[in-house]
Amino acid sequence: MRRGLVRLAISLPPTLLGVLTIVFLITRLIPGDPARVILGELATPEALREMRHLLGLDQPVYIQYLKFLGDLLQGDLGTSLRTQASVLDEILRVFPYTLELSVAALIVSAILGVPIGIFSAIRRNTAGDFLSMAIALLGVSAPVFWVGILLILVFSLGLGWFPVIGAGSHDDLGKLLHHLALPAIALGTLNTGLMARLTRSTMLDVLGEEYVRTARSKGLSERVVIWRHALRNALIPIITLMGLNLGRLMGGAIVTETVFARAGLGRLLVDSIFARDYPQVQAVVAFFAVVFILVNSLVDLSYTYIDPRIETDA
Amino acid sequence: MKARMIRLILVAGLIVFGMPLAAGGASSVIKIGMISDIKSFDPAHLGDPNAELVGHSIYNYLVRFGPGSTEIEPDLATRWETSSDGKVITFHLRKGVNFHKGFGEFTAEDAKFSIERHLDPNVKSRFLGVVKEVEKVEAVGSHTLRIHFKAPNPSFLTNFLAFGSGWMLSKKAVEKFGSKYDFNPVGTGPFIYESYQRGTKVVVTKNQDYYKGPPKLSRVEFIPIPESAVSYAAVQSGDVDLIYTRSKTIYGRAKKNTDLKVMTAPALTVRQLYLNTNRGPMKDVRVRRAIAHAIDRKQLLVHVLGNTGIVGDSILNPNHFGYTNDIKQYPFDPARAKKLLSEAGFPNGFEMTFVYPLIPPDFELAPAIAGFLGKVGIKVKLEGVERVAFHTRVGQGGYDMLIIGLTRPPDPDNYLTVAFYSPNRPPGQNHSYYGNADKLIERARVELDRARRKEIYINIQKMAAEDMPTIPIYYPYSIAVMRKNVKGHVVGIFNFWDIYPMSLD
Repeated sequence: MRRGLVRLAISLPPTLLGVLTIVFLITRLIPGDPARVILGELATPEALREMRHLLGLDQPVYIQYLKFLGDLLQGDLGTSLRTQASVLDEILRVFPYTLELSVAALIVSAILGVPIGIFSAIRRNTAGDFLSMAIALLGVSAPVFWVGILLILVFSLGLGWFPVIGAGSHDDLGKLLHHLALPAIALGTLNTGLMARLTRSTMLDVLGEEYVRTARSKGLSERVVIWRHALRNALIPIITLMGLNLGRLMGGAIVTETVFARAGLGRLLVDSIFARDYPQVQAVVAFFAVVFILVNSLVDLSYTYIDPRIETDA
Repeated sequence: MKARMIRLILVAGLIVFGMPLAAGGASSVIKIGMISDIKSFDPAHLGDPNAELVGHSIYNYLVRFGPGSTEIEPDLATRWETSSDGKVITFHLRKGVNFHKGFGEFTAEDAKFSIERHLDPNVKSRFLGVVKEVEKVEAVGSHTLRIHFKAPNPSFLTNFLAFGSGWMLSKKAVEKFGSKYDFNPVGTGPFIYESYQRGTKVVVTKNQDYYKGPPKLSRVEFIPIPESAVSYAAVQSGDVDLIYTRSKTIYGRAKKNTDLKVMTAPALTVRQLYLNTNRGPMKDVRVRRAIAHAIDRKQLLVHVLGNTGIVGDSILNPNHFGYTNDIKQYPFDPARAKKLLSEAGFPNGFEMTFVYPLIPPDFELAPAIAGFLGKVGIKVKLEGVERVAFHTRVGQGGYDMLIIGLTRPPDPDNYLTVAFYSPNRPPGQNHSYYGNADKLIERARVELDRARRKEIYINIQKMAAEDMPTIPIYYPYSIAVMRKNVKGHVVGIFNFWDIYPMSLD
């Protein structure tokens, strides 16, 4: 585990720098003028020139990049061009909403996807197997925004069980969960399908192993064979997927947060892109990158807990 | 283990399903859906209709538009006089009006400060172009304000003071909050700003001391809902009580929904095609007239726009001072269009580039218009551009036609100056490069006699109808969809509607 942590400490800075450099360049390549966004459509050319100068956007790109690196080394990610607030403060304000949505989506997909996959593996080549995999395929294929709007139509408007919009309040757990349910299901749909398919595949591999045949021949119940022996070994790739997908779910929360009008990192990123708020866009993408790398590393490190024989090698 | 699992599932289910949805609090709390989040509550940085909507409930003006009207009425100024040369306006201010949160009484010093700060280059006001006509602002005593102009400026009241740009600020509050004032507004209005959680909601609460009497609502929450289908779902479910929209889909559905009511008002928008009179075939007025005849605007309004407005028949909006449609019109007549093209030397048509922003309804209108033009032989190359990048793209030139919806105050001076005055040719907003009406625009700007001024604006419309630098497509409605228990909602002609008189049954 120590080697894994050292490897993480070494790889994180250059990876982050690479991501930030790419985002820095891309934001300056896309058309659109932040000065015009700030000053409005009727801004005079003089006012626009002055604003660009104030924002440092009249400098050559490489000068802007060097300044950006200099600020970064001092721990300054900059201030939002729109709000003048610290970009990090903005991120930290909304990150809890995205985190809770992503974790909830992961939990939903695990609760739904793993049992579907197990059932499908056990009932291999039966109608139950085909139906399960059809459901999984639907999960993988259905766009998140479509699922979200469908859930709203049925469960909010039709049945009136859930609110349409909002994130609730962190002071009220019940309200928070109530607002979280539909967005978590919508966001978790794709992952549910992936989990079901992967679980089926790994379970089939494991169920064919000799030790499983030995366990059955010793007279153990099928439930014990599946849950205590087979699933534990099938867990490794499933955990890998869950870990990798936590980062992906956070990025995918953009659409869900927009559909359900929830605050979050995804919406912050979209609003910042539309406003050409370069510092905010850079900061959000960097944040996603850091979270992604940390989560993946944690996944690696968790293997040694699940199977102490596994070492995370360099 | 099994029993424990079942208990866990039951508890989770109870939490998720059993907890009652918190109602909006007391029934005098209203929730209003906004299309997007707020950029700033500082009038100098006013950048979106949502900020105007919220600010309209927090602030007062010196003068304001009457309910559903373009006529000016008193607000924080009880009366005003204009000097005989039109260069000085004296306002007599209302006494005993207090700013929220203990920032003291509204005085002439605050009014002076509110206007002058737009001239401060450090403030970077969006309205510098309008307010630079002001030579001096004087506070005469505590409740008299005098504004001196460089030249007569009859449109200043309607085009600056009665808009968000004219919100009256507390000098003390702006000095206290400094650069953070954008999200710490202090006004004298019927509601007091309480909080703003970006992406979640803005909350304002009742001002018990409002000079017209406290509002009936105790609290208003403005909730950003970017997705229009979801905003409609939210008002259907009661998650919000009111939304504003220009969506034809929502308009059509809401009219049939018996739980909702729909109110419309003509907005001050003119959505029109700008023809680049500086380039290629568009230089020929016969080509421009041919394009006008080739497009069936009535069909566009019914089938593409879902009847969310009225057909355009002048460069001015019907709510603009001086509007007339008693000018040359261009009914749908493809045969006439082809004849004009032939006379202009294009019997087989020609190719053109049509640039449009990727926003509703333009991304539906543009292909439909291209279809009409194709039928008379004009081959259209469509170029859709993201909204934020649109003006940058247009500034690069290389277009024959654009479509833009422009919303400006009811006095036409600002609108005509922005869209038809030659000094505002690109990179300004005069996208058709028109310049024939310059002298008339300049004359109207300083004309104090209302009847003569109206006559000038009629002549400008007649001239534009002959020259066809633009083709008005339609004047969109402003549409409000609300729950049936929402009362007192006053129709307004702008993007913001008055919340003060509202209540919930």
